[in-house]
Amino acid sequence: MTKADKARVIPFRRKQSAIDPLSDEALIAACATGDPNALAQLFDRLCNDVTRFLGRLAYIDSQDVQDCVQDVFLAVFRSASSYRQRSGVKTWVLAIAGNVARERWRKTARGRSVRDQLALDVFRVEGPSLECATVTKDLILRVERSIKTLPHDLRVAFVMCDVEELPGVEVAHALGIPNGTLYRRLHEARQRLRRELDGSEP
Amino acid sequence: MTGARPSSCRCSATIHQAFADDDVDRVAAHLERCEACSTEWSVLEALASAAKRAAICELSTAAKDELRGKLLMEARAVAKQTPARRSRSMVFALALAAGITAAIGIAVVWRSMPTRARAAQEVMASLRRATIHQRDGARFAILSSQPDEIVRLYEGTIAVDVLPLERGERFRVMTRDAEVEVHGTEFVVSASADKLTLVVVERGLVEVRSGGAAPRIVTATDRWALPENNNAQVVAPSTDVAVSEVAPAPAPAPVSGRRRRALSSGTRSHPRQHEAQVAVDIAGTETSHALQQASPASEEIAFQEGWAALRSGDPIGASRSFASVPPDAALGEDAIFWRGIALARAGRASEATHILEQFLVMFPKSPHRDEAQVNLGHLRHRMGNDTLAAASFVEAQKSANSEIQERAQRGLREIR
Repeated sequence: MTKADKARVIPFRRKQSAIDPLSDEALIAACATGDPNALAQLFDRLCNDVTRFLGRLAYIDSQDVQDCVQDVFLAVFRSASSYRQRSGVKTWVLAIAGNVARERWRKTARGRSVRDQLALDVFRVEGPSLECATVTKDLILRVERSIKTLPHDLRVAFVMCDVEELPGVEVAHALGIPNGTLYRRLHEARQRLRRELDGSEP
Repeated sequence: MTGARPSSCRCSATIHQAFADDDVDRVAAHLERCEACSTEWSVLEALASAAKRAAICELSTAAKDELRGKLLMEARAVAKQTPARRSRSMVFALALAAGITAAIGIAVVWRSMPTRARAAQEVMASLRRATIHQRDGARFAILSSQPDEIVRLYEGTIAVDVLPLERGERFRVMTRDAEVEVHGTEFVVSASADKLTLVVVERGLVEVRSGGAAPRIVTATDRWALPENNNAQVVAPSTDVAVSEVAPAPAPAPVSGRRRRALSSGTRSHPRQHEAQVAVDIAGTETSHALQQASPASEEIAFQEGWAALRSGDPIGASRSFASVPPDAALGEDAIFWRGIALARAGRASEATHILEQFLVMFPKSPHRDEAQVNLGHLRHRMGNDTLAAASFVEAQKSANSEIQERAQRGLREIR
């Protein structure tokens, strides 16, 4: 297939008469051809997911979240051609977000506590809800603190599978690890969190 | 955490996996019948629920718009840079590939240089497939190199570690009365008075052909030994006994000037082989009848010289040397075959055809048979006798060696 053929088949174009929006996969394919508008569309769809995921990973400072989100989408744009559709686009993007967050944390925010200083003018913060009768505010805060103690791999596995509720098989593909490795990480993360919350040493 | 920790369940791992896979039905079915998992499940659910309800960062609409604008600008810049970066990467990759190709080319050219031209480094090609460890002052020489490597063992014990051979390659250790053919293995060979006395296989298998006896396969669980009455047999499984204890070699003996030269010219730059040669030359202080017998025979020297000539690009000299090896000598079969090849390389197709035909008649079961057939096919085709050439190629197609099969098929296509 020539470049010209690709350009006819894949590019993202906003058609006035189009009823169905382009799928996430089509947007990624358009990104692979270097179409910034496709990236903007993808950003609109996944921005909240990525921001929430980065926040849950609890790596980065609140001031850094915006930059980190930008880095994530730029990384998605650069590596769009490597997307093989073995996992959903959201799973794949969140896996990239995990890597970006770790790298950023290593470079700039090592050791700093996360979300201790929320910038309220930038962020809208949803605090613990009282709607859930079985989950107390205290427990939520303890869980937050406990997640910060997890190693990166365990943290990503727990947040992606248990919190974001992404399918394990897709997550394993997106992270480039065997299913068994993901399950082991997930199991270990849960056990560690339980031990942490029970007050015993991990 | 709420509640006591649940008792462990053997199927806990299943639940964890099912949870990860979002296999709700499977989880529900299991939780209904397993109390322990049900308890654990509720704990995990509470944990996940708490994590989900933790403070969530979300960008405000204004922040999103700002970020969107920045992202578009960055993406456009990336899109513009990408072709230039790709071209730079391509140039770098091409340069790297060219460098590697040049290095490989230099190595190949160096290896294929006439051996006499690099006599300072080595007289013949080095053993590519094997490492030889000398034991008890063994005396050996390398008679030929790839693709048919022959190590001639005169006295003592050598341990040979042979890498897996490629298609069409052979590796043999010969004594006056026997030969051991290997196919990627590790083994120990002992000879006394130029007679094969012991073969211990440590890995893989070897085929021992001794005298007129039928070939004997010796595997890693066997060893071949020559008993007192000289009847070869496979004895009890190897117990990894030091070979020097099992078959002590006689004391070293002097080597005549000519034989010493032969040995020196027959060995390569392999460090251990040099060590072996030094040991032989220095240790040779006494004369013994056994070791006089164990010295290289004239036909072996001729074979060795033939090989050296062939590899140095002198096929005429090689054919002369090979011709001086009697057909009934241990190396006679190989000498005739390589003489035919040497003549073919010299462009003397008629003589080469005659020699290879003679070879096939004399040694119809030779391992070189198929290779001889395919070469004969090409020679006959070159001489315009396509009917006979096709017959040779058809015979060669029966070879178990896929490379020879391919060559034969190619030859047939050329004829058609």
